[in-house]
Amino acid sequence: MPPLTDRYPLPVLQDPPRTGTAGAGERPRAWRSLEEWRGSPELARAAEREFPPGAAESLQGLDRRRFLQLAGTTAALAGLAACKKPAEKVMPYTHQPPDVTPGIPNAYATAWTPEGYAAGLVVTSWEGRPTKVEGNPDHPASLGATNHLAQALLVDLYDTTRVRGVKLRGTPRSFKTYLEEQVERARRLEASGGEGLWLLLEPSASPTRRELLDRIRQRFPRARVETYHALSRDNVHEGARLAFGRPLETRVRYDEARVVLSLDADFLTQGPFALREAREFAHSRMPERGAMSRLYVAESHFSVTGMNADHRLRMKPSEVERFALAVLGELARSHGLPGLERFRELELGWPEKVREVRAVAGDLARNGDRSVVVAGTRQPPRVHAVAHALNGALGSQKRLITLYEPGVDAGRGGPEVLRELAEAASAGRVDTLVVTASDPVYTAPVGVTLGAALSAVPNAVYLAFREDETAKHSAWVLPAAHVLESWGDTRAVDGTASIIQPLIQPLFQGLTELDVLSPFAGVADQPPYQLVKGYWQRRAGAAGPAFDDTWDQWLAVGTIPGTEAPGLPATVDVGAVDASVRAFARKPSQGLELNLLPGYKVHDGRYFHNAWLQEMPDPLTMLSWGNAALLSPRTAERLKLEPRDKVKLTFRGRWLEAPVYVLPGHADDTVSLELGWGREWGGDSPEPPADLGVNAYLLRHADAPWFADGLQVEKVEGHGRYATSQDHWSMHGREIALQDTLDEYEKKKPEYLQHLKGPVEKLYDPFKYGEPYQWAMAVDLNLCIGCGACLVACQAENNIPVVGREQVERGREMYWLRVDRYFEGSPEEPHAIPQPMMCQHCEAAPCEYVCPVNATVHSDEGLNEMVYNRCIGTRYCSNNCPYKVRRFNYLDYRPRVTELEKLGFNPDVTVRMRGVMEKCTYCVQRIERARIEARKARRPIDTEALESACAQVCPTEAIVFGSLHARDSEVAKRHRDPRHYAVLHELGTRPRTAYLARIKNPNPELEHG
Amino acid sequence: MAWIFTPRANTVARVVAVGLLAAPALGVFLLWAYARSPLAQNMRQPVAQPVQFDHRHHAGDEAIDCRYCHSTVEVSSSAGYPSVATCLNCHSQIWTQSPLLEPVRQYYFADRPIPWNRVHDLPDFTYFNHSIHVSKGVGCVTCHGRVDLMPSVQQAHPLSMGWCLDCHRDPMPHLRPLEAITSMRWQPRPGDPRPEELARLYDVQPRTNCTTCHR
Repeated sequence: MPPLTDRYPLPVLQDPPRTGTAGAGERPRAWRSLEEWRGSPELARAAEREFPPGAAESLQGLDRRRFLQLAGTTAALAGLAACKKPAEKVMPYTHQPPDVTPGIPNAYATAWTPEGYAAGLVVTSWEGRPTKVEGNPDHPASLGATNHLAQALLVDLYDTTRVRGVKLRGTPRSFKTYLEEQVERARRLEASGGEGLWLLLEPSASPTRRELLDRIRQRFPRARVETYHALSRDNVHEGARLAFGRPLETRVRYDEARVVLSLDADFLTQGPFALREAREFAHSRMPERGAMSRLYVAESHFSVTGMNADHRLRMKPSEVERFALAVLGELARSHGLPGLERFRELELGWPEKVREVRAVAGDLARNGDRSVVVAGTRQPPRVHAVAHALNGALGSQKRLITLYEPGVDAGRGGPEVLRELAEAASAGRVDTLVVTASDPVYTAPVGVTLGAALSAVPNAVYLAFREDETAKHSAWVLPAAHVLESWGDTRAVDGTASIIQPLIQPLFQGLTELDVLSPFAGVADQPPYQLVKGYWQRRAGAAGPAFDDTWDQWLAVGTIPGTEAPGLPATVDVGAVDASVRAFARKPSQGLELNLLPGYKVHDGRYFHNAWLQEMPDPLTMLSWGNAALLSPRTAERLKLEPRDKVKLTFRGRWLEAPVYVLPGHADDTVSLELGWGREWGGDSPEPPADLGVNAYLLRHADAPWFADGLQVEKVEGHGRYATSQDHWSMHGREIALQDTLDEYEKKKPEYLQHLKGPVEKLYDPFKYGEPYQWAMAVDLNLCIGCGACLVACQAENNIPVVGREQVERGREMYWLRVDRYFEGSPEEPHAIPQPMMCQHCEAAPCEYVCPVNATVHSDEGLNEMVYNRCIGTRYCSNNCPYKVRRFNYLDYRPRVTELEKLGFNPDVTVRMRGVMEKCTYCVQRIERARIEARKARRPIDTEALESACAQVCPTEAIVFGSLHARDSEVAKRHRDPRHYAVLHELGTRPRTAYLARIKNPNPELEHG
Repeated sequence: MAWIFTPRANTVARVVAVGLLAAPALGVFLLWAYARSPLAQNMRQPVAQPVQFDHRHHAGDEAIDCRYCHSTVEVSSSAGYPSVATCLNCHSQIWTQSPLLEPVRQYYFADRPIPWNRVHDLPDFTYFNHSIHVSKGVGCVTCHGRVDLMPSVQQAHPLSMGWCLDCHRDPMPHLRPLEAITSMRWQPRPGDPRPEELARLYDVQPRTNCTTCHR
């Protein structure tokens, strides 16, 4: 039977004719996928339906009627059996800890160490159970924000598949046995000066670890102490060594920059100071404050920073170097920058790019010391040196850049180290090997058979978080403590030191790196707490109770005052850079290029088992539960490839098969693959162990760690599998995510977007703003960088279940807040617009009128409330929601949650069951908690301090939350901003969430002609 | 030919017809009545506990303030259950050999919590906060009844949503001065501040939005 809508056509909202799409015909102004851009009929049909095809069907062929029969019977039987519910137990403490009040969470400051450097955290703990990670507002590298990885730390903490207990070749041993044996072995090694002792460590800026290593080096002068990270920062350090004669870390003050040229640098999300730099960058993009910088990004794949570029200069990854040199030559030649005289002769002959090079160089020169060039970690040292030389000549090195002594060991920390280790171990020259680096066997490049070499080491010790590849080959496997279970210390790039304090006792007898190193440093009797405290006590030069107070103070604040390092003066050695530039032999890039990327969610592979990160859609591709071979539309067309085709990627004689994902805006003749995927998914998982993505390390070579030409692509039989949510919850290409150029905005300013705000015809009574608090949100699309931290923060705060790959494919993801990514322009050169989308809390909410049981109602403070216990699951509300933000629990996701994972639930939020609708609540649990505290103290709610989880985590403060009655609050100001608009304003829903249009600042020289 | 139906059959048929019509209505009514009965609401059913703790003795005879044991009632959503160490504050001095206290000593020395059975069990989607209620002049006895007269604690009120809302819509009859918040026997006396004054004094503004309790 055809659907009723075919026989009785319903009146459908007629979209007003769009303007400004002349020549593009029916094409939408902003689009999410190539299918939508082409106007694919299947997609249009799918969008007609409220739920994606497959979402509403039940599992395993159980039809609706049968389900109702079963459900009815179950209910009847359950009704009989449930005369009495079982008594619930209450377990008070035997001795109540003094700092714990049941029902009131505590917050502790600590830090974690992505990429070796500190990012401050404040972790919420309920009766000893950490439940939510936030950034530490007092920490210079956090400023209160975190990235998506820090938000998902709890999943790893409560993971039941972690290594439990010390093991020697598979048999359990006690940690004491380990210590005794290693102390003994260290004594024997001491005789030979440490010959045959290798330490392969995770990069770390920990001062205590540094002290331990100094002791180890003293005791074992012939020992090899190396750091290793698959995504090492070697290029950064080597580039600085080339330019300044020594390795340095660069910190850029983007808030003062007017022009930024990024050479393949994803500085908004990567790098040890990214959170702060992202906020400062956002501060340079506020047209109402007269600040509007311009960002050029030269890159191959579409990065988050590329999403925010005013001009994305698409090129093969190897061409970025050539572009850097071209800009250098142009600035030396046409603009005569002082200090660059010797580069005047630099002529690369690149007719296709000459317009871009001229425009970028001109813009950089015009803005002098307020323009800055930054290079990405994937680019070779020469590019970094050129960037330093340019900043020196432009003057920005003095004005915008601070150089710091690297806190981590700056040496070769990449694949080269592994090769040496494998050679030494295979030759039997390694007696004792201590590995704390993350799974080097899995991340080792092609040709380094580290696994076999490791098996040959008699005393290989591996500090393992999971039973991974390295653990399989190591004699001793020690359980690694999670950072939230550890004592330690760390430093930020600017030197600020923090103490890492544990939130919980190690769940599986986990050990820290200090535990593992202590027998070799001769301090086996001291646990990490003593080591760290002892170190800082010596540094503070205090003792006794006086130091204890200081120590407590440090722990409370999360930073150690007075530890900031001064910026280092340095001058660029132009001669050295010149020599390096002259050595640049441009061999033309042949054919297709392989481009390996750091995993945005899985990092080097260490977060592969993190279900929150697995399910989180990638900011650009919207892929979850896997990676794919990314190609540009033109290259895909040339190779006759369609999305989801399976291709065989052959590189230097080795190959792997991957699904094709056609990414608009990707560089031509380049295939990008994220590293860190394709591992085994062990343990009790929501998915059967399957191939989640492909392991790109199989194509990684030590001499080509990131990109190289010579890739062959060949279509093979079958289809690849990936889950992408880019077409889910489509909104028919209406005016949703808006973007304009600065000039256009300035021109139209007084009446900007008038058709998307102001009064509309009303059918229902207007909302009364009687109550003292009127909750509202504002999302400034101009500040939003699209990183996706809000999405994971929302998941953590609101107990949102993970549904698994198959359910994502069916469109059943449960995110209350999704970050949509729209493209604007042509598929070859699109702009990307990220847009966080959550319940808009309409004052005239369409969902409320259709609920037959009043399960969704409006509060007098403007909240659209969802009452789970009333909901009977008709899904009418979702059907009537124009924003597609309501999520239905098709399945019961609770039984999969292990007892351990339950510890991480937020006790303030109901865990929903099957058959219930849910959606963003504006974090009403935080509102009510704040209200109760305020009412008890008989004062008004501090609406400025009250933040929703998404607003709190946002690195750029793109999302703000508060009360409209607080006229001077940021949220009220943004609701009056000329750039603000209501999504789908014409429907008259009067949403409480305002969006502020995204403003681009393109260079007129590149815009026209 | 004999009659198949006697004259009585008419009456039987009428009774059966009325009965058939009435049965569903009666069934619905009975269900409705059952759901509102004290039985279905777990009221007035003493709950056995692992330790025979007698509120009559502690709260009644000894007149120990509720907050001595339920110490977080003024600050937290949970009133708090006493730690085993709290019991031993007194019982390390008095009744040290009492067989009734043997389990308490066992739990204490084994460093294990006492697994009490919950008496006032709200659904998990309901977020009740003790501290806001006691700071606005709603006394313990208002919801928990005369605990000082209960050998083992039982639920004195329905704790149903309708019962909550009655007070949230009109809290006046249930307000008392904060000094008497834990008193079991307090009665308004002439000269006491009137409920309206208390409401003004304590800034009582109960809300009836769904998210006040359901989040």
